[in-house]
Amino acid sequence: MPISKELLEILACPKCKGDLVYDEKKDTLTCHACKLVYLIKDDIPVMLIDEAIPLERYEKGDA
Amino acid sequence: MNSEQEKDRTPRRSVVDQYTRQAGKYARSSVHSDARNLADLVQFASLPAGVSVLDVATGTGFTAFAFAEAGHSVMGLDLTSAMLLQARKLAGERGLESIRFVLGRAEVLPFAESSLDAVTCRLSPHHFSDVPRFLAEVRRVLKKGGAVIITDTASPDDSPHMSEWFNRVEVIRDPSHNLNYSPVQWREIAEGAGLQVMNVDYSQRLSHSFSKWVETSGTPQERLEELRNGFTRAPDDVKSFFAIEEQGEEINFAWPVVRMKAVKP
Repeated sequence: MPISKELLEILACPKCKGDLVYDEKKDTLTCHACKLVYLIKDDIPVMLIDEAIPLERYEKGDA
Repeated sequence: MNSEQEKDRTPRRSVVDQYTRQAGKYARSSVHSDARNLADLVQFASLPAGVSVLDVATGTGFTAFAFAEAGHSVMGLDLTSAMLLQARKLAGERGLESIRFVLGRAEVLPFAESSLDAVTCRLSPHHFSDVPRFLAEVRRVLKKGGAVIITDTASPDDSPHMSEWFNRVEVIRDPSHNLNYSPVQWREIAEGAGLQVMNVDYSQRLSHSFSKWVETSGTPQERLEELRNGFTRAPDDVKSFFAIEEQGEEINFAWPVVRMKAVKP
C-alpha cells in the first residue's frame, strides 16, 4: 500500500527537517540534502536517523 | 560528533527493548484503553472539528483511536515497531484504517514546520530522555494556534520526598522510566519552549492494582519483593497521597495524573 498523500505532504527528514522524495516503487523516502534514504517497512516509514541508509550506499545496492 | 547530534542518533535502547517485549501486554492494558479516561481527554482537548492530530509515543494506539473516533485525522508516532504493529492491528479491528503510523522519536519529530493542528501525548513523557526538546519540537511542527495536549503521571509540586519515592518505584518496575514531572515543571517546560499554557489540571487519578501493574510491565520476579516493600513500607504521608491500600496479597494505589493544554502563539 502506498503511503498516503496527506502523510507525504507533512513528513520531513528528522535530521534537517527538509523535504523528502518518495519513491513508490522502491518504497523509500530520500532526503537529498542529508543524502539519506529512509525505508518504509510494513507500510510504516522508519524515520530514525540511525536506521537511514546513506544514499551512495543505497544506490550501489549494497544496503 | 557533538552531543546534540549524538542525542539525535541514539534511540533509547531500554525503551525499545521494554516495549518490544511487552507490546502484547500494552495492547490489552485496561489502564491504557480506559474509555472514560480517553473520552475525558478528548473533551479536555476540545479541538475544532476534523483537525489533524499527531499522537506522539502512541504505543498500541489507544489515544490515537479516541481522537480518530472523535472525527479527527490522526497519525501515530512511536519509537518501537512492535507497538506500532499492535496499534495498526487494533486500529483495523476498530475500523480505523485511516490512522497512519510512523516510526520516530519524540525529541526528533519527522514532520515539517507548521504542519499539524494538534499534538497529543498520553502516559509516555515519563520515558522521554529530553522533555524540553520534545516540546520545542512540538512547537516547531504545530501550526500557529495549534494545540498540544499532554497527560502523564505526575509528581506533586514542592514535595521532593514524594517525587523521589514515586520515581524510585517506577524505575524498579520499569528501568526505562525516566521522570514524572510535576504540574509546575510541565508549565515551566512548555513556557520555556515558547508555548502558551492554557490549562493545567492535576485532579485526575489512575487506579492501579499491583499485580496488573507489574504484569503489564513484565517486571522480573527478582525485583518484585523490593517493589512490594517499596509500597508496604512507604511513609504514611506517601501511602495517603498515593492511596496505597493492602488487600490481602494485592496492593491498590492511584497515580496522580497531570493534564496540560498549551498552544503555539
